[in-house]
Amino acid sequence: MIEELTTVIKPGPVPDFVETAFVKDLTERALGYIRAGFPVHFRGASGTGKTTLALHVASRLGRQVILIHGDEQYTSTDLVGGEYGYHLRKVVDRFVSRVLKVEENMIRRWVDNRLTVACKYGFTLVYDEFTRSRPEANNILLSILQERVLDLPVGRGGEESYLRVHPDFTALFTSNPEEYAGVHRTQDALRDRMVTMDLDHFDEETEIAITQAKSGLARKEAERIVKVVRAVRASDVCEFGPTIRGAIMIARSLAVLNGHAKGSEDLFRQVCEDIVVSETNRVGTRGNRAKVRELVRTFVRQYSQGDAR
Amino acid sequence: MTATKGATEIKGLRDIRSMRSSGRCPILRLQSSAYLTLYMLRAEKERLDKEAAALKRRRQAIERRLEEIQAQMQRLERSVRAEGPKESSTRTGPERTWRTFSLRY
Ligand SMILES: Nc1ncnc2c1ncn2[C@@H]1O[C@H](COP(=O)(O)OP(=O)(O)OP(=O)(O)O)[C@@H](O)[C@H]1O
Ligand SMILES: [Mg+2]
Repeated sequence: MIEELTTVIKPGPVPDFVETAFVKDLTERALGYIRAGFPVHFRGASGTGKTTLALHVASRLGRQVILIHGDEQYTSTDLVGGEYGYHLRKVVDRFVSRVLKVEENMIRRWVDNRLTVACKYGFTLVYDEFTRSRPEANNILLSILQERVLDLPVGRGGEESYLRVHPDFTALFTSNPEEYAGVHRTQDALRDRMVTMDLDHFDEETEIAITQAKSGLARKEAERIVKVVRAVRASDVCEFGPTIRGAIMIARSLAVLNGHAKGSEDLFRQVCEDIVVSETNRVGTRGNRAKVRELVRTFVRQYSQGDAR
Repeated sequence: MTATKGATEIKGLRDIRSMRSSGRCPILRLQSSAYLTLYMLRAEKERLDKEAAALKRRRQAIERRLEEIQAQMQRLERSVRAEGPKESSTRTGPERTWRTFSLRY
């Protein structure tokens, strides 16, 4: 009576995926915890590469991947499965001699959801931004991670009410501690069952490599962009500092506009100002915008010194 | 349905006689007259007649709907059956092939 409506994911790196020592180290450590039998949780601010890293680790595990994004609206039915529609069942009564009694009746049909599929077949679960789901919906994970048993709700058409989790099943979680709106605090019981790795922004070398790979700009130019972005981030002017996404955006825009990250180019300063201001100003107060603009201008000048004019 | 039982759903509660129907009148005997009693009884009869008529209409509506449901279920079950047995396709072993979706990160 089990039917799955699930598509599995096969993750793979893009050609411009960057694996610096920093990324390799994180990946290997995470794989180590997983081999030791612990689910891994990447926690970090926006743009620290949590999702990408989780997919990378999942891809290294080589199993099919089930991807779930945390959602306020989720119930455990969305994760585990539930009754969807009807299914016709034929009951053949063999005890009535000679006359084959065939009784047909409609019974509710159970459909497994992604979490059940992952547990049953030993896939890798990537649960992105899992703290966005309500704790009650995530409670189902407690016994999966600890006792490696999935409690199934009753009514699963004659099947057992629990399912033993496949030995290959592993789970990777991500969350952003900065987000408060609509985010539920990690339940302590759940966090207790996983290894939490706090991610900071990538190191400078990795940020330069990513910026360069994603834009095709020269190394020297990627370096200048990253230095400006990191300097603004380190200053206390922005509530949310610019991320690697900002650096990628600046680099790509310059590439498209045929510009260069050089102090002699006005375009470089303009693009930096626009993108950094837009990334860091979530509320958009005029005074703060002006301050960030001024800061960007200073850093662009500072990191472009020594350029041929 | 796990909602709490309303007073009307508690078996037997409806049958408890109210003050009025038990024949005892809250107005003092001394002051009552046959006219007043008659007036009150007529008012109660009118109210109960109306209620009985409403219940009768509701009962008819429920019965009509039950018939419709019965007919619709029979029709659908017939057509589902005609589509042929799907039983075997629902239970596939762990060897099943998955629809895969490749995701670049
Ligand atoms: N190793 C890498 N190589 C190339 N690009 C990377 C790498 N890691 C991260 N990126 C890029 O950095 C950006 C941010 O990464 P990602 O989306 O994983 O961050 P996140 O922490 O999940 O952010 P959010 O909290 O906003 O979801 C993306 O554009 C991603 O493509
Ligand atoms: Mg993410």
